Amino acid sequence: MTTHKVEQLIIATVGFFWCFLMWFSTAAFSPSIADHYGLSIAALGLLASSALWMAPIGRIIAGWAADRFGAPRTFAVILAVCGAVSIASGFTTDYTELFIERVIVAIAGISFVVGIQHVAQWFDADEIGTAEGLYAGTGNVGAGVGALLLPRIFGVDYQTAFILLGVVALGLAAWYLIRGEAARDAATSAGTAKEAGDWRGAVFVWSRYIAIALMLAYAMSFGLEIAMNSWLPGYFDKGFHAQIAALGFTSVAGVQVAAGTFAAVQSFMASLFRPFSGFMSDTFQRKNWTPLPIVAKTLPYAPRLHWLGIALILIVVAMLALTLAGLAGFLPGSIVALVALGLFISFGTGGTFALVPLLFPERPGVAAGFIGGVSCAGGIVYPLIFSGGANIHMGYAYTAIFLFIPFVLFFFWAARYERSPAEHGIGEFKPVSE
Amino acid sequence: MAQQAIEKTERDGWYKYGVGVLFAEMGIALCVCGYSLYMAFAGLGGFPGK
Repeated sequence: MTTHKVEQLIIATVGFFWCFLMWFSTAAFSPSIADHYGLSIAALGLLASSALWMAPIGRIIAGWAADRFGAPRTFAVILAVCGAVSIASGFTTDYTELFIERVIVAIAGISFVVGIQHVAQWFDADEIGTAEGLYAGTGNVGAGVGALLLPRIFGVDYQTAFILLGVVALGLAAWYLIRGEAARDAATSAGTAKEAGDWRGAVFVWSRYIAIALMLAYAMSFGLEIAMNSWLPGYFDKGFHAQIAALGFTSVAGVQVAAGTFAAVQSFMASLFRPFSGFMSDTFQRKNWTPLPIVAKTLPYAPRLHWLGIALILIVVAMLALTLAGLAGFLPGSIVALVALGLFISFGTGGTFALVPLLFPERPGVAAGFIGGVSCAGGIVYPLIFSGGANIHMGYAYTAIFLFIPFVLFFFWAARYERSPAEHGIGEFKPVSE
Repeated sequence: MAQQAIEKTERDGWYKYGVGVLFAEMGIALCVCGYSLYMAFAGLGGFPGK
């Protein structure tokens, strides 16, 4: 079959966009579902959090499956299963059944690592940042589009929305299976599948210091992004209630709209600037910029490590700025810090996955699964820290000082090797092929 | 290596279109954020409702 890497990029991006749309469609209709079944606030929170349950372990398995069986087959199975269950959920009348079905549909979120692996198998090292950024950034917009458009198109008729989303997913599964090619050539595809057959290869990746450092970097960026998505509306409501009321939003619905607007700014910046971060990683590579101390300077991909290091430092700075603006009760300052945080988060997410396929070229799916999967735990952990302190504004500083600064220091330490950082890890574990 | 990368980028036609798309996405992000924040700070509403 004649194809082109851009066609493969488009297939992966459209598939991922639709998976993200399905992943967050439950949240988009949660008020309608709550109204239909008379759910309590606790039950609504459980429904909202269920979207994340499958991500950590599911992404690890999906990454391995992409290496072993090829991205097109793996992605098509995810689309088909989630699509079929989404259709079924449109006909369900029992809430327990609906809840279980929507948890299964949320598996769509694991498709991220499959597309990362697919794109990595097609694009060259010098353009991987832009290609992965376009894939991930454009696909991520599916979440925002879902929140923005689905309730406006379908109103409270979430059943029809779930059915149509599922039908389109089945069509995309067929398209992915027919037009998708696992890699640019048979040798690359076969080599990756062979490496994935050895389970010790997965343990090898998980035990490398640089893989752990990238996982923590992604937890600082994407993990923080999804944590903020759920945390920020409540934060602005409680932390800036008087200031929001002074803008004219005095009713509960009005405060919700204003707080939601401020929260959405972070999400939009983090998603839509992600391709730019991949482009910047490519630019650092082309210009051979290596400004940071300690971090390796002579590795073939050293400039990309420096770009990611800069992004991580900026995230820490923005988190501290968010606390300072909050303590000062200065709403515009908090919004500026939030816009900056969204931007720096995108630098971190784009910068991480511009590196992953280059560090582990023989196991891109396994590496993407580990880094993209475990880091999702941040989405569950950070809100607990944010809400745990006596002052609602201090949580960002606590997270930055006690978690993120150690993560950054570990990144610098793990990225200091001037030769094959992937050789350094916990134990002397090596797969048979090495 | 840096020189190789530049030559490769110039050879591949898709790259400039890819960069065009990513700049368009950045423009959309800035427009949506700017409009939403203007609406919110003017007390008129904002994303994602009225």
